Amino acid sequence: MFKAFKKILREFVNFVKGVNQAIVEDSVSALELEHNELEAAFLTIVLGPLVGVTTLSPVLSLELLEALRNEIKILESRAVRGEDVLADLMASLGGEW
Amino acid sequence: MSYLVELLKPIEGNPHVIMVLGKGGVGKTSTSILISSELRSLGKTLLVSFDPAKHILKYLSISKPADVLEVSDNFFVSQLDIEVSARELTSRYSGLISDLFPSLSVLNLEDITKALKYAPGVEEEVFLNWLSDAYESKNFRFIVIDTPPTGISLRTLTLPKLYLLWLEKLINIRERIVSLRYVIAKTLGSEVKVSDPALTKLYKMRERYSKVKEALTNPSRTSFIVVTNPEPLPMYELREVIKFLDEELSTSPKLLVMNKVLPKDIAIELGAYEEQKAIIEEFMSLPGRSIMIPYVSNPPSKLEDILRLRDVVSVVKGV
Repeated sequence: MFKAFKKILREFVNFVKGVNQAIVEDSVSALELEHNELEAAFLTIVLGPLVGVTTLSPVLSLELLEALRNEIKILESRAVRGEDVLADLMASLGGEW
Repeated sequence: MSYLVELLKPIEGNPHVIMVLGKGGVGKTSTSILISSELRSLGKTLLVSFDPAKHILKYLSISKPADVLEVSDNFFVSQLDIEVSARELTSRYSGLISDLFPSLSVLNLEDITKALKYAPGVEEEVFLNWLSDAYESKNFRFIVIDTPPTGISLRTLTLPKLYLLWLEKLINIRERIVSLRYVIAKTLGSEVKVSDPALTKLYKMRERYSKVKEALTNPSRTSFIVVTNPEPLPMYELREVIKFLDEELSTSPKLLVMNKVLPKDIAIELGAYEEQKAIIEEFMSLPGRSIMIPYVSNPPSKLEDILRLRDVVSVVKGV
């Protein structure tokens, strides 16, 4: 009887942990989505003047370039991957395919 | 202390920057030299000319532009070439772009970087950079600026306000990005990196432009002198500059200068008397301190000629 109760309790704890983990993962996904969107918006605003879209002064863009070295590297690698859209989509889903 | 210096008070701030504005050819360089030669009695004075015609070299018998040249006791001069400085700035940016985007050379698009020198705002940025450094300078008590053409000067003076507006927006987005990065890393239990080079750079830029904006709007740190002639177009530009200073910087010129006023008999002979009279009447009705400098038969061509103008200056409205 005690063993059965302990088993049910363990299952319940695992269930709660699972729900909690799911909530955390969902929240992180939502935050990551917002983060990625904001990063894309930020880079669009900063790099816009260099490709003829006047979002702010080109001089401010140029001044900020050095500090955005890492983001620009990622942007360039994404641009290269962008040629194979399907592979990029599979990669973004994670896991092994 | 000379009456010209009295007219510029308050002149606190170390350095105190004096900007001489006005239409091309009205006598900005002569006025700048005159003011500088008066201020040097109070402390080390640097006169910087952005005049594209480089008249100052002729006035001071300097053979070629130099960084800073001592003309006489406490009086230093520098002639800057805004186009050369703009080229230097854009070549630095071009190098940075080639470094950050190596793919441009793979695609044979390096020419994009060469087009940078035509990017809008570069000349204004050169002037603003220089101005920002000038306020930080500890070497001079006074810095007198013979400004570049009015368009560049006025656009430059609006830049700190405009840049701060853009920077605030960018800082808001960047702070949100950094805080999200922090929360995600913390939640996933991975290593948290709080510092962000872009945000640090944005804060530094905000601090720099805030300082310039504050200094420009503070009459004890910056004096504006507007020079005009008794002709319709220079007078129109004087009104525009006064309006600009009021609307954009909430300040007003410390001193108005009416230069090259024709003697009555010559003005009558040239048929310009009525027009000159009307313009001078309007000039005299403008608020603030003002002086008048008569037309001299031999236009000033060297330092001594300009210094002699001191004796013929008349104060229209004093302290």
